Amino acid sequence: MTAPKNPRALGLPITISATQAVENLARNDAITAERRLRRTGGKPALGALKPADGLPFGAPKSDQPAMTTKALRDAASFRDSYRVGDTTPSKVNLDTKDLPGPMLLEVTSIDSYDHNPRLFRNEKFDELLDAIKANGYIDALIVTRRRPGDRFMLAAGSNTTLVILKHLWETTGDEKYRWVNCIFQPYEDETKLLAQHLGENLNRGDMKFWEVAKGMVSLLDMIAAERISADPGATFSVREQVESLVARGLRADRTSIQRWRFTADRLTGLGSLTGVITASSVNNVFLPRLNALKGLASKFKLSEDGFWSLVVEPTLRVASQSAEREGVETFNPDSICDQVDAAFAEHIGDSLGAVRQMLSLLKLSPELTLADLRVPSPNAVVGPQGFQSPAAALTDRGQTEPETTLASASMPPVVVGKQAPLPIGPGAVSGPGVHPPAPPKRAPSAPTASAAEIQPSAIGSLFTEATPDGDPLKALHEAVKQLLDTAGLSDTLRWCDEMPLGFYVELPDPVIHARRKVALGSPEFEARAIKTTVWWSLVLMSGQFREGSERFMDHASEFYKRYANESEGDPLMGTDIDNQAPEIDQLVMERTAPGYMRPAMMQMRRAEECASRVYETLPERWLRMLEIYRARI
Amino acid sequence: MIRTFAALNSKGGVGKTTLLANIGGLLADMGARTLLVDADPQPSLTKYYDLAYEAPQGIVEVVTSGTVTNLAISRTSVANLDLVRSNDGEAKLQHWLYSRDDRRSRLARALNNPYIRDHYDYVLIDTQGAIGPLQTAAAFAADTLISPLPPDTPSVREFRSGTLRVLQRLEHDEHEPRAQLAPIQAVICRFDYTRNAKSLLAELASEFSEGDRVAILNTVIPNAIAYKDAFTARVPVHVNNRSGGTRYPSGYEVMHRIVWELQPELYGCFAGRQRGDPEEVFGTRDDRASNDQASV
Repeated sequence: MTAPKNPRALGLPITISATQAVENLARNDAITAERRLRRTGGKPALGALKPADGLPFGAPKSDQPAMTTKALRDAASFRDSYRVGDTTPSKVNLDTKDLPGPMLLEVTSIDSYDHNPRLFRNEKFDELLDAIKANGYIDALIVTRRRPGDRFMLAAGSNTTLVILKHLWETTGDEKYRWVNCIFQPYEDETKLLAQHLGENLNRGDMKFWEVAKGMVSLLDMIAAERISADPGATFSVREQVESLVARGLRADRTSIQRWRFTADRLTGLGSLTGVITASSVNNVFLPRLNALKGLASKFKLSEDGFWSLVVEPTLRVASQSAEREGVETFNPDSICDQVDAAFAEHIGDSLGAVRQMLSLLKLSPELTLADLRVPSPNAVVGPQGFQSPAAALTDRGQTEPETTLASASMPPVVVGKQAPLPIGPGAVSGPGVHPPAPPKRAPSAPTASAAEIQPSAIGSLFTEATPDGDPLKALHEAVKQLLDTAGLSDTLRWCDEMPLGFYVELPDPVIHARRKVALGSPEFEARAIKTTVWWSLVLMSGQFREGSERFMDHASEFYKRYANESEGDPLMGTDIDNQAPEIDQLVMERTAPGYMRPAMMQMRRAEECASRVYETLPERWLRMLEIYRARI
Repeated sequence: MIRTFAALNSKGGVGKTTLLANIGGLLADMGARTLLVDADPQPSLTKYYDLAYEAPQGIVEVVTSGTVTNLAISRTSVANLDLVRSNDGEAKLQHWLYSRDDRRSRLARALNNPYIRDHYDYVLIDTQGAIGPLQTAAAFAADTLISPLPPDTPSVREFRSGTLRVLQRLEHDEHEPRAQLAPIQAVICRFDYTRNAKSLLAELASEFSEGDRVAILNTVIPNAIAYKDAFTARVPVHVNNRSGGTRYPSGYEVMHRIVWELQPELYGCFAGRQRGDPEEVFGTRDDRASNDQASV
């Protein structure tokens, strides 16, 4: 008989032998001792120790069965549990100290960007200060640093904010200004930093034109230097310049790059006045007038560098110094250009009037030689018989009395700051579905200073008071209006006194003039032909289709927007007007065609006649047309 | 409101991971949405529970990016119990953090995150048994610190003079915003019931001064094999060890009492989303005391 599996002192079967019982009791004692040992946390019962037969060192017993007890098994699986479930290590490279992400920084440990494009005090400083005082700073600063261990530096704008926070922390000692939420951005290169600062400041929209120009030019120089260091033979075309700026998230095009370069390179002499330079003063005054004078200077064999350094720079400096002395913070770009003209006259030892006369001649015919300019000949500009050359007309005036030119007979005095009343009001067009033409939004290019300060300029403003009787311009406008009424296009007429003929034609409204299916030869078909011929004829007549008209067009007009940006597809698609100007043979044929076309063409001829009269009696208008026609962009 | 606990002790092997895993397991079982954060380069908390889903990111990304996203949150096989796993295989995170100016507040700011606030009731941070930037960051990220202490006076003195003094000095670090160390709840671990628990607790409590803001929990963790068994089986001890032995109260009871002491508003909440009167379930304290007395 074998021993029961769980021998216990109580409840044993009575039938076991005495030896078996003794054996069981001994076994029971052993188990109890073992349990006690386990329960007391392994605390040894010293009394249970007995001298060992042999020391357990040396060769371990190989026949000892592994993991016999539960404790041993548990220990093994406990060890194993450290090996199971190993998870994938992170891919983040912790050897890089500067990882992108948010961090909290002490305001004094951050520096402003060391090439901050903002050169003047931010006009919104007080506004920002009040906002931060009221709400604390609730945004985060973007910071970077060129090398690990350097101090932190702003990476994208907020230079003004940082100054304010430092100021508040120093003056108030308030902990809430001391710690700033920041987002760390790893450093890449200088061009990225500058581009980010420029972009941020441009987005906030309160950058001065001078700051933009300076920043953009230094950014372009940095990019150019980078390209040259990568490839010594690299060129940097204007197109590539545009692309490199656009790739950095900045808006740019060829003309703005030209303006920025011109401003940053040529107008430095304005010193403290640079902050007041506006885009339009550069665009409409400084750039055209100084470049025109430069052209004249080249006729006098004055080198370009010489022109800028000997004539322009000193004049600008004098202007800014006098402004500083008098505490004036604005300037009139035209009067500064007048001063440059005068300085140039002094430089060549001639009168201001002569310089102006030569400038206007040169504008008409850039190929004239110095001799031609000095002795203006009637052949300089070839005009029709009996037609007084506009250049000659100007010459006469320039030679007699430049100061009173504008008050002379053909041109009434300029009224500055007030737009001359238009001969025909835009309200004349009405009716269902017809949008009344908007008045031109573009402000006249005349300076906004008071009339007394205005120096006469060589060509003068084109804004004319309407003379009530026999005004050729009025007659022309009446004729054009009737013509457009006949053609059913009266909603496209726009007045714009700066255009040579005082008007331009807007793109047809795609809803009103939507193209529909019409039968060949039907009156509707004829009407479409009339629309096309009249619209295109007027577009070409007004000069608006020439690129030179860019300076005079209303930049808010659809026509300007669509043709200045050619990528947007065909603006005439889906309208009654063909998207191509009619060929010359077609035009001639329409002119002589009988039927519906005839009354329209008669009015067209009348309008053309009126236009000729305008040019004849108002030479400034003809000059402007020539200017537009000859302009090269 | 979300509560953040961090285990804190400068010594290894006192049972931080076990305690935190079991508290987390019980809270999750009570129905609380619980997030374990394993800030120990030896991923023992990560390995405690079976992972139902292993997230691509872990503590390294949380600390370095300064924020917690769901990309860093793994799921354990226990319902309601999620984990930010330790994935700092080469133990470089300590060094990385040490070089940062914002080392002390970094983890706190990462965990103070709308995602965490919206998705969890409890966050439990486990740390390595040493004192370093990562432990400091964890200590200042928590609103309650849990310190497992061995039941002897020398260990308690060492804890006070080592860990606690270092952290209290860091409260006034010049390079970080001023911050107060959270109050400390000390838990006596590995108690072997060789002496009276009450007198031991009183003796240990006298080691701390008022300014230490240390409270010692009345519940002690016995030095029972059940905790190791639970670790091996990778389940919370309250699942594994429901009935107590002659000497020790069950893991089920101990863990419940610890959670109730840490979070008094949970008193009466039981695992499995159940409620009850603890006096009925576990018997009165007097019973317990007389049992203890009897077993010694």
